[in-house]
Amino acid sequence: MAVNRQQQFEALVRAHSGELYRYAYWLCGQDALAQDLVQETFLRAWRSLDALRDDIAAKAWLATILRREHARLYERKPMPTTDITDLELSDDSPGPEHRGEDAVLRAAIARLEPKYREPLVLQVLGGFSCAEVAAQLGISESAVMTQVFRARQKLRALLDGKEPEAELHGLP
Amino acid sequence: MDCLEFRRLLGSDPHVGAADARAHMATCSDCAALAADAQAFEARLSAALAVPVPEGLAERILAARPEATVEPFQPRRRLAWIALAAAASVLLAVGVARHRQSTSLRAMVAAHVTAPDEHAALAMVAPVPQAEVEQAFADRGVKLADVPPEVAYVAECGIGRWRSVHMVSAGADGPVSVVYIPRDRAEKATAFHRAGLVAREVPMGDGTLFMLAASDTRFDALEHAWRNALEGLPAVASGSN
Repeated sequence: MAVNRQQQFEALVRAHSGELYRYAYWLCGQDALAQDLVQETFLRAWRSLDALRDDIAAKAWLATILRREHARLYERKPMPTTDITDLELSDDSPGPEHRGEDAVLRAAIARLEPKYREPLVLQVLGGFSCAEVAAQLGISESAVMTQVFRARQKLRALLDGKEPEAELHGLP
Repeated sequence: MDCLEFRRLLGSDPHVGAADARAHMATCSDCAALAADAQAFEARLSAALAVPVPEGLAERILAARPEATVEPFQPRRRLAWIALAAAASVLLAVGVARHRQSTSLRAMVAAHVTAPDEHAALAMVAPVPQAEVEQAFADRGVKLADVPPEVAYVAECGIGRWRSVHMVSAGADGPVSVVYIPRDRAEKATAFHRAGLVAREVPMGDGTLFMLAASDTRFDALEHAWRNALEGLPAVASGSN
């Protein structure tokens, strides 16, 4: 039984740690902190592993734990005002957003307000539907649809050097 | 579905799969072109979000799993040499896990005290009543022998899974963030840098005291004062040699 539990845990770590790191990175904007958040998430997941009945739901379960761990960092502070551009990187090396291709788009993503960035990351990176994102964030599906729509609109505007509120595709 | 509905759907989920959306695309070349453009952007967005994952992340997580350090190890005698190698691996895993835990705590403490909302606490200069400081520690199960002066802010903060007492010590040369984590004692005093601050962690009482500031000029004095408060014994600061 213990062996099965360990195998289940190891499979979870190997399957989801990379994706969770990316989610954590876009939540907090810091490489070292993102790694710590993922580690804390799996530590909590290990303790509660028996509660996970369905491996298919593991990704959403882990993402929810990670969101809570991130929020707990700022337990006494209102999180929605935290903007990724206000946070300092913890070392002098370039952050992941400056490495690899399309650093311009990554910088634009980092400039998005958290309320736009987080549902977009969950949808694009996590592969969650708008309904699933809504369930994770505790908001309505229509609010998620609006936020991810606006997020893409703002990104395109930032890339085009326009104001984020510029109209796209002829829509208000 | 009309063009407006289609384009709204496209903006919220570019991988339009609904039958009525596909039907609209088949009859509207403008929307079909927009859909192709949106899907190209989506591929670029997906690639941009996929920041590089640090090497060895999964192995570090597995090494830090609590049970990874305490599993019984009972090798057969004739495989003693394998046992030695395995034991060395376990020791290495314990070392990695402890190192990872200490670096994790440092990162989290630094993130906590440098959060944007912390700026207000750092600006406080009026001393809080000693009783408030004593109460914050008492709530964490720690009895103070004394309360160091110049505590301008005190709060019981959760930092990740750690329960801390978070303070700001005001001074003429700038504030020092002081965080005490009970029941998690560092192995030794360590100076480090995080988030643009100089910092020191010091084993103290049954826990660890963190000090973070723009400069470490007051660290020795604060360490001395807090050692008196937490251990009731005067001692030489770890940074003064």
